[in-house]
Amino acid sequence: MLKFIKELFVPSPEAPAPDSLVLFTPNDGSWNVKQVRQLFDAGVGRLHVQYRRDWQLKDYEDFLKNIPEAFWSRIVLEDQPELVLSCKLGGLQIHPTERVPRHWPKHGVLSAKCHSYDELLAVDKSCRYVFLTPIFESVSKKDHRPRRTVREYAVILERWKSEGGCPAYALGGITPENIGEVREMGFDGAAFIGSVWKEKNPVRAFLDLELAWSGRDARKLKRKY
Amino acid sequence: MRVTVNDESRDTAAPTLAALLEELGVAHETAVAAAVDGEVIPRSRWSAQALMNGTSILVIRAAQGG
Repeated sequence: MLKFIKELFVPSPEAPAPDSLVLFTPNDGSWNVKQVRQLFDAGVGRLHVQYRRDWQLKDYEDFLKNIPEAFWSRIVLEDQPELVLSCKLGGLQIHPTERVPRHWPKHGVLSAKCHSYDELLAVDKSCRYVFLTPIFESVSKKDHRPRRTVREYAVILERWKSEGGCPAYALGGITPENIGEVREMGFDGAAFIGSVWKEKNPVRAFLDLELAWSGRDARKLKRKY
Repeated sequence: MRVTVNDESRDTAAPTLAALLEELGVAHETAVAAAVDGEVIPRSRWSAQALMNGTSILVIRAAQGG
């Protein structure tokens, strides 16, 4: 009985945010490992580490050494496929036109970033999810504007889904203010760069985005604010 | 001998996976992984991985920002 009562007061672990909410790291040195750890602790369910020209294999290895292994399955790389496989990371981002080996290991979830409908159509069926970008004017990149209207994106998504396409996530300029529109367009998830990293408190920014996406009460998220 | 690279038939004299990837010009790309007959071969074993007639090789590239 006493054990049962004690268990009632044990804090429940942080439930990760849905992995359909994806955080990309910036492709420069404007972020650090400590922030990434804080974001994982706060529930980031999937982190795409963007390709950095100045990073070699050792830089990726050093990065991983500083991240608890429990979070490795949430990490996706845009480079170093062997590291993805040997460390059993969460996945690999490939180019939309890339073909996939038939026996590609299941733990290395594949994804692709598409900038047009043609690229979307070229994506290998093995990809588990795709990004469509840019949906809104980018927060982090100057003059990176959408090539289609909101209505056109909605039509593209409808067609993509009717053809059995994998889940599609919106990327580019997604903020707490417009994330509801992203859902209305038919996207299965959303991805963020500038709207998290450009903020003073990236953890808070991510949680605000998650709340705006889910529409849930903040207290139910059980996250660290 | 004749091998298959990403589902396309190709004649090669390359005795190993390392030699074939060198021939394809991708051996030194960090974004590349290779599989032989469906099994992903770590880079450290590319030189020891012998190729035979009919071998199927798959080469996959990470996006590297694309």
